Amino acid sequence: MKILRINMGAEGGPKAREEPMGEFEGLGGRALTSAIVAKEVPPLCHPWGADNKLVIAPGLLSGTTAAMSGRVSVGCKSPLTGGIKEANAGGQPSQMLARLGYAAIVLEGGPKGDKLYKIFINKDGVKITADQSLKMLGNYDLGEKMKKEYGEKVGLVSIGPAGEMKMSAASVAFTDMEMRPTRHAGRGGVGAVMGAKGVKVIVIDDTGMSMRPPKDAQKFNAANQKFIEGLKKHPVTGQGLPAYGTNVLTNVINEAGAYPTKNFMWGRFPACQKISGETQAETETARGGLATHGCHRGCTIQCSGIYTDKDGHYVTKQPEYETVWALGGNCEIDDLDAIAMLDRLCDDYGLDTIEMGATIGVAMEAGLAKFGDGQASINLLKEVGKGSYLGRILGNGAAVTGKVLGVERVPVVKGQALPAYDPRGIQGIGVTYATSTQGADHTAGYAVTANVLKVGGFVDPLKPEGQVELSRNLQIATAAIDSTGMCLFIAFAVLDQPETFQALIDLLNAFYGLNLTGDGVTDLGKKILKTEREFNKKAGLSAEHDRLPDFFMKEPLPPHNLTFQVKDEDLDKVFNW
Amino acid sequence: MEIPDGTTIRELLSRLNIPPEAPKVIFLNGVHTQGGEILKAGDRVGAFPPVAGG
Repeated sequence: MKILRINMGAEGGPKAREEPMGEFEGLGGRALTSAIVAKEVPPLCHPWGADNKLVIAPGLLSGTTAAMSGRVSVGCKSPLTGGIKEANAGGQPSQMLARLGYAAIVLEGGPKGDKLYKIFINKDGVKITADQSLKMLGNYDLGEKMKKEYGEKVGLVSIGPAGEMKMSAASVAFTDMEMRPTRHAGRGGVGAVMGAKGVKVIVIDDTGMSMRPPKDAQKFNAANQKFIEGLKKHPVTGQGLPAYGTNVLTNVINEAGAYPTKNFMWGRFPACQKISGETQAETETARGGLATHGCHRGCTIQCSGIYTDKDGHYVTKQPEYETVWALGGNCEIDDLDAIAMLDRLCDDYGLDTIEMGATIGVAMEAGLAKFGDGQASINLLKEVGKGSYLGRILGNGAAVTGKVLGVERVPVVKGQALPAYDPRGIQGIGVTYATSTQGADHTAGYAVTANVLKVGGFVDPLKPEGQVELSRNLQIATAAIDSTGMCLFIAFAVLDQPETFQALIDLLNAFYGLNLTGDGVTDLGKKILKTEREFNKKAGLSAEHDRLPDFFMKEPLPPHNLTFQVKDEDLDKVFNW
Repeated sequence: MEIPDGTTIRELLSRLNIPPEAPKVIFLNGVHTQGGEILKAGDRVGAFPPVAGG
């Protein structure tokens, strides 16, 4: 494997060069992005400046025949949090890049002038071309243009207008199997950094490349078979997710009384059944969409889907739970069609749906629109795409919007908006939100598993006891899984079924000729977190930033009427090991 | 719905023809339970098979 470095500020124009892995040998995904960012990016640099880097890295098993291995990590110094960032996405490009032999693409340096670049990578090398005709194109129109130029078998990594305008809620889009820009590295403004590097799109064509061969093919195939069996056997990965997708959570989290409603005022949304995963699946099926669909080739869980309008025309991929909550329930919007349109707009402009939903909730609290008004929300989002002054405010996220509009209740940690679980009703996720190196991030240590879903054990969500340990263990495990290129949803099966966890380790060992144990996986996770914590410290983030906003400790949340109870001194123990 | 006094959560689920091993998570008024409680007027019960998301 090699690292592809593209210096966007080179004399005479952007230049690409390939390098061996060197000191980064053995790393992939988040392990690799965080290692490169921590080593090479000055923690106090300006996130849009020449010294920041955008690292795009497939995982250790990406590009192999291992099931579920199509994830990609995007790392940099975040313009939203000011700390280190790893945003993760599915789609096709990860496997293509890995098959082309790249462990990472590093965009570095500062482009001169305001040219916009298109990068084409195939088995013959790298071509970098300035193309002003791409300026301010939405990701969908960009895709149509790239199809005409390069055919339908390529994968695209792109930014929409939001990234070009360097908005802190800007995402990096990855195309799915239908070549639509529906899978996003959403969190933390990674799209703004790609925009600051002057790169609009990376076109990847892996024609002529084959699957990466394992060191021990027999062991690898046997492990893969066991792995797939384990995923099929577990009811979450084998039945629940394929049938209803992630939005299956709406009814569960609402029932648990932790569904943040009306900008985190209440823990239940009475109309939630209208936007639940069950209703969504029913609607998709009735209209000729798809309730079961994979975001990348080799996925056996198939949690995605296709959402069409009432006439059967494609609108967007099946909106995820986080999206339906942020742009729906959090804003008291109970209309799946409005939510689908909001999701499509975010995909097109290249925006994090979680950040935008929280932002619109804050804007609604400021009176810019009525809670529950789907059309008003669509109009606000269109301002972002236009780049009007209001749009630029909203596109920079919930914290900026709250400050400008005079709203005190702003649900962010380290500047990043909270996802779809209220910490007062699910205390464990509150620990993750507060302490993760990533800002308020649910996937970083998804305590909801044990707090609500009784996966991997049970820790009472309404009490502070046991939450620090739960969050710590999940943060460690997640950092390791994020390095493998595996979809995090394997965790549901891996946490409950030791033989499936073993199959994952066997896959890594058989592919690379290693002798990793479960402890080795834990060590990798700890190392990554340590690296990230050190970067954040040097970037000016300290224990004082590992806290939830004040109102979570002061305002009891109905229906349970609890506040967040985990003490500050216990939050500071998460990284003690 | 109307049920006789003294009905437990598990008995209620059985009345609704839900197989006993089907629910993985049961809520009584939003709080996790194993299902042995006797229901009172106004109680709210939620039962879910193994599900998860993100």
